[in-house]
Amino acid sequence: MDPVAAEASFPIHSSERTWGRLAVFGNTASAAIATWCFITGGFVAYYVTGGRGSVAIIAGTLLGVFISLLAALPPATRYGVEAVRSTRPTLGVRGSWLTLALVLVILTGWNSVLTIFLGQSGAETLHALGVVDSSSGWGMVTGIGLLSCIATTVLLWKGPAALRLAGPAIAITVMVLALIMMIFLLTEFGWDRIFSAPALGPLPDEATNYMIVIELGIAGAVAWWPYIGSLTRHARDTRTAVVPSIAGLGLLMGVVLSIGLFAALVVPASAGNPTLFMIEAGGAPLGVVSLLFMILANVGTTMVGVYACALALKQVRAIDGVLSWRAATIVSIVPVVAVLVLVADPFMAHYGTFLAFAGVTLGPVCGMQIADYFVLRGQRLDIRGLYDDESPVYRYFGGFNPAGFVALAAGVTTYIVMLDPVHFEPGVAAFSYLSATLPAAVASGLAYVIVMKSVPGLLTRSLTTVRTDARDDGPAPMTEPSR
Amino acid sequence: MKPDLEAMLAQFDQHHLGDPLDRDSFMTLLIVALVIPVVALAAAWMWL
Repeated sequence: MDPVAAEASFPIHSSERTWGRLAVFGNTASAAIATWCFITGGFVAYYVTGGRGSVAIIAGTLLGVFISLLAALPPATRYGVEAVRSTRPTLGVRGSWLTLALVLVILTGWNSVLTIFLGQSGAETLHALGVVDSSSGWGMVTGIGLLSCIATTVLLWKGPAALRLAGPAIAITVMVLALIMMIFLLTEFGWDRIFSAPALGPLPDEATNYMIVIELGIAGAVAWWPYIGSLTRHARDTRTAVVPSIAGLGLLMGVVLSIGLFAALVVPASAGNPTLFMIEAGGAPLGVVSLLFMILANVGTTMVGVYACALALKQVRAIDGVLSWRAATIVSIVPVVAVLVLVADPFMAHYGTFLAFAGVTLGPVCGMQIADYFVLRGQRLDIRGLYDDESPVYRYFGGFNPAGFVALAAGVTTYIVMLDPVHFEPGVAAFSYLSATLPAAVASGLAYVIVMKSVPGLLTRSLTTVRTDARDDGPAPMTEPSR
Repeated sequence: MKPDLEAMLAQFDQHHLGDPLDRDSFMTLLIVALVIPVVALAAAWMWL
């Protein structure tokens, strides 16, 4: 593969895309599974029981994957674009800088969360195993976090080609370790106890409890939007990417979320993290399993996050011209190190707010992208408009597409009306039947189509004018199999 | 050396694009990630 295409702002040609199903599955699964699954699973236990909760969180995650994959995967596998560049049609050439800021903040936030989680839970595990005297020392947490940052940088040092091999290896190992954890839970506590355990702190209305869990799944999966383009652009074709991505980002993540749910229900003090009571019950062997799981799962996810972050940075031509791939990797990891060393505790104290920020913004982004790509453009983008900053196709008004910003405002407003994203309290009764991310995405998509069709010239001037593909003879999306 | 933008675009003008999302892949996505989860949610609500 042309390393410049893989590491910079140029697209990857179809002939250079080498990832098969295993590589796509491995990397999406590697990205999705991390210790945050335990934390979210522990949160689910507050609202519902094990049976309903496991179905709701897996199904909710799949629904979120439906939205984020439909938005990000088709343009990525067809045009080789990642998240930032894929929003040029919806937000404009300069408007897509907003996406860059959004992606950098969210990816840096996720990577910081993972690194701090790994530092904290790694220190606790080492303490429980008797390797260190104390688990609460700043130095221990920071040291483990820094080691994970170094490991991530080393893995990506020779370019994203490492992902193809490292992703599946990490994913398979983590799957085996997660299976051991699930077997431990079932043999130690039994199905009956897990499924009969009451929810820890449910709200009075059962339908609202159920929908909050579904919404957690949807919002968590929509947060994969910045990762999807960066990963699936390497897939050999669209068909190769679809099922492995659903399995990696949806099913597998849902299963690991269920581990956190079960652990929190039977041992509420664990808050969803089964590692400590696994060590108490099983000693060093299970402790090693837990430690390996945490290291591999978190480093695997951070690796994909840093790759996506570096790639997003290099979508700006001025940055691409100055930063090499290695420099972009370092620039992507430095803010994570800064958060870890300087503000780890305050940052984690506002973890919920950060999650809300990702959920509120990315659903609407997905909604308008789906409307734009499928409804308005029939899966046909202008390749010159995507890659040439001087092209007028996606410049709209001064480089900004007003339809995209109106749609974003409509989607964010809808979300906030449906659900208070900070306190996770429903704003209207309809939330219990509709969730918040789904209506936000629909509102954003509808507003986008209306404005694009209402403002004269907005749509017509941004439609593809140059034939970019010999097979592109007419607007016939989804009418024939790709092979 | 980085490829020239014009050369890259010219290559794409030939046949280097990927495939669109075809009907089969879309239906797979629709059924596995939308229909089955909605049915499962309804079933779990009624029976669990």
